[in-house]
Amino acid sequence: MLMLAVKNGTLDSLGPLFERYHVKLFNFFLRLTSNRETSEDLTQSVFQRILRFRHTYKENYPFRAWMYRMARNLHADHYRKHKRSMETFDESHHAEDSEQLAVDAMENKERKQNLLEALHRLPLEQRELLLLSRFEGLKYDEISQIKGITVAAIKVRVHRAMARLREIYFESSENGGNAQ
Amino acid sequence: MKCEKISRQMTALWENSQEPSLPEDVRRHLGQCESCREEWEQLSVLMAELDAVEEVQPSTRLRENFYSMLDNAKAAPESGSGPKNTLIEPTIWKFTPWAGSIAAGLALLLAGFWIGSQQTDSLVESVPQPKTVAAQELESLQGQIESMKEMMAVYMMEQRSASKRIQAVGYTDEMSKLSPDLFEALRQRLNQDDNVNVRLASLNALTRFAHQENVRAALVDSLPRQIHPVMQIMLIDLMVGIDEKRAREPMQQLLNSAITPLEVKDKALRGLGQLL
Ligand SMILES: [Zn+2]
Repeated sequence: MLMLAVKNGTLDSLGPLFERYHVKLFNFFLRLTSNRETSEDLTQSVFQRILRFRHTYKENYPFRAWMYRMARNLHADHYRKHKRSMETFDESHHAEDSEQLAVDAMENKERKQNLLEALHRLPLEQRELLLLSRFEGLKYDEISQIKGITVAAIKVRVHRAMARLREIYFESSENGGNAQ
Repeated sequence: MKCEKISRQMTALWENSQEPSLPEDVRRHLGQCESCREEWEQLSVLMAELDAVEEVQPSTRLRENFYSMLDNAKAAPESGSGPKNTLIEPTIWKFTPWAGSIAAGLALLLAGFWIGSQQTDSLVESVPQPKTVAAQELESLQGQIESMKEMMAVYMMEQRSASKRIQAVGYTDEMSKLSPDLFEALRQRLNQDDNVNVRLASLNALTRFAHQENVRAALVDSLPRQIHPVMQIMLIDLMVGIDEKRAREPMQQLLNSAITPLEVKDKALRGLGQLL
């Protein structure tokens, strides 16, 4: 209903939507990019796009799914533009840390660090999927609308992503993946 | 094969749940199968860890930037133009509060009260605590202000200048309730004003109360009265948005009529498909 008001010209109704979702969105980007500033910029861009494309909002389409769809697209653009620098950053970042973290473990902070590391070692597509379903709390049918594939396919992919994450996190992946 | 199915089932249990309980058949399988049991334990640990990751707060820069962007967009609403805006003169949308026709003293008084009322609003919203006497007084003041503003709005809606009428309609943005008088005034503007911007503004104002049955009925009733394509499209949009099935009939009529513009027919057709 708020987005419908925005669409119909009551731009102030975007305020409550911003208040409701910006922290979630920011964290979504933060876990994808590991960069605060970039994540703030991307979050801002989402709302900018919502404003710019408000006329294309379909009333029956859940707002949250619409918003995350834009968020994904924006991140994809960003990723394409910065691919090279991100890859080098990611690799050096992980190669050294993961072994060390596997040895350390168990202290709360390090476990958390471990988990985020594991998440970052997932392929982008799987990481994104887990972020949407676990961190952002989206239902599978919402994710299915965002990604344009069936709920059944989402289930399969979440399952694979979780299997992969388990492997990485519990360091049981030494003898080859079994998550297909 | 059995394990694979169980494994998929176990992952699916975590969709939007923080502590799923195991269905009986899975539980029975786990009793006999060590590898699945291990998987379940790992899954539970991992999910708990994932849920324990705290949200990071963005800097204040984000909020500041957002609201200044919003302000800019409001100052130039035509910039994000879609098909609808091109038909509307943009300047009329500019909103200047309390134009000269109202006694300056009254305006000042209202402004003072308004600031007060805004402050209590935020208080009441952030901390739900028992109301103090002061809060009660403020609340009753708020009520008085609202009815004063409402009177002004109804009165101003009769003015000759279209932009003044739009302004008057705009005052209802701050009102939390729709009194019968205000409802009637807005309905008249919606159906009878000869300026499409006024009609549109009235529609927007009424949309905020579209959860009320009388408003919904009035909106359904308004659709066959509208002849401007913008109004027709906006109303159809709204009807679909609020899932108002009574609008099917006037939409069907628009579709059948020879004088309905094509874009409106298109909209009506799609709307009919959505309002099942
Ligand atoms: Zn098993």
